[in-house]
Amino acid sequence: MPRSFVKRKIVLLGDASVGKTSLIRRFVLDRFSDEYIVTLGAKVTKKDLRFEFGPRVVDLSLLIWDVLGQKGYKSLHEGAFFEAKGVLLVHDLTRPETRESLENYWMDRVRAINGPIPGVIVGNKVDLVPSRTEAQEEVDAVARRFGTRGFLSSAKTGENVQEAFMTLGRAVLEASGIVDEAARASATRPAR
Amino acid sequence: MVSPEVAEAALVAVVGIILFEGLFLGYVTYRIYRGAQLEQEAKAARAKAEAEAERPTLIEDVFLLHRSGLLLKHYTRRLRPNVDSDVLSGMLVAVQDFIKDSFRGERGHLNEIRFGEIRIVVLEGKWTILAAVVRGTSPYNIQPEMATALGELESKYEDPLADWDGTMEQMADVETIMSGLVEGRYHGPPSITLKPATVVTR
Repeated sequence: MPRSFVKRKIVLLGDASVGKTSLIRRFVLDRFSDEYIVTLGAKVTKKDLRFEFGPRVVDLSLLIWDVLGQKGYKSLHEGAFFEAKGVLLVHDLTRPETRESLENYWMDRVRAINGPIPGVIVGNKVDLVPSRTEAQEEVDAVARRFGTRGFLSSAKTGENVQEAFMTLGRAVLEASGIVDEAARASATRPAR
Repeated sequence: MVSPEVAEAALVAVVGIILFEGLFLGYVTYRIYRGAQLEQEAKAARAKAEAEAERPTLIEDVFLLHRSGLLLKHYTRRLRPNVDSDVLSGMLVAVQDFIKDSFRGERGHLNEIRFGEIRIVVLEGKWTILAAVVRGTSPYNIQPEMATALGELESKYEDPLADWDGTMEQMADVETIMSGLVEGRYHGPPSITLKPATVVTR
């Protein structure tokens, strides 16, 4: 079975306290804590994933940059966006202003530096919303505007956390041309 | 016969003299002991300083990073099983950027981090960042060697570095250059002078 190893950088963006760090913690360590700890600067975490595209196996080493959500840190944000091959745009479903911020601030910043790159929209804290239907409509609307997929997720319960990261990982591989069209057509679900 | 008053006065005088002599002897003994102790401490400090001055600066690790924070190559003299070099590389770049934001307006670069006995000496090139974990008293002596190695590397691999595809396939000689730096092959006057990050474009 042909195998290849790829290392890629992705970045999580969104306003402060939308749950970026918690999502990474859930994805990488499968843990959650209610304690809020502000991310100072940026924190880099690594997760190794395996994808199978038909007969081809791709080992993806994902370097996940968790960047502080406060606006105005130009060098830090530009440094984090630089050569990032994918972006997870996170907003808090209980605070509509964080969704507006995704559209009006974060996506513009990323595109200005990286051009169009694969992205996934994540509406976090779905366990706290009164109406899942409304939340789903909201996330779908944002995802449509960015031409990508959107997920309702909860770092607390773990809902859709794995799915969001794996979808982004797959999109990153597809965009980088590592997976050819034929293999992509016969792609199976990720092995882990 | 001696009157009781005289005997008592003589006794008090004798006891006083004994006490005084005791205190005096104690003080003299303490001075001698303290003097010896101070001399011993000074000797130990001198010996340590002499040993450190003689000890060569040793490169323990070299990290060659792409400016994105992704690790290109890592060389180490000792294994640290709990340290992920990919994560460490990313954090080195993130810390640099955070410092630049926090002290915006100040001219300069974060070119050294000290932690205990080790120093991380950082040199920024146009496409890459070279970070050396150094143990020794004069880590800045390493900088000209690092500049020479980095200059050679960037001029040799300018094309693949400018549009890096995430692999090392087009940069076969990086290993030779980096091991040359660790082994001291670039020791001597620098042939190429690198300007720090002023040349960087993102």
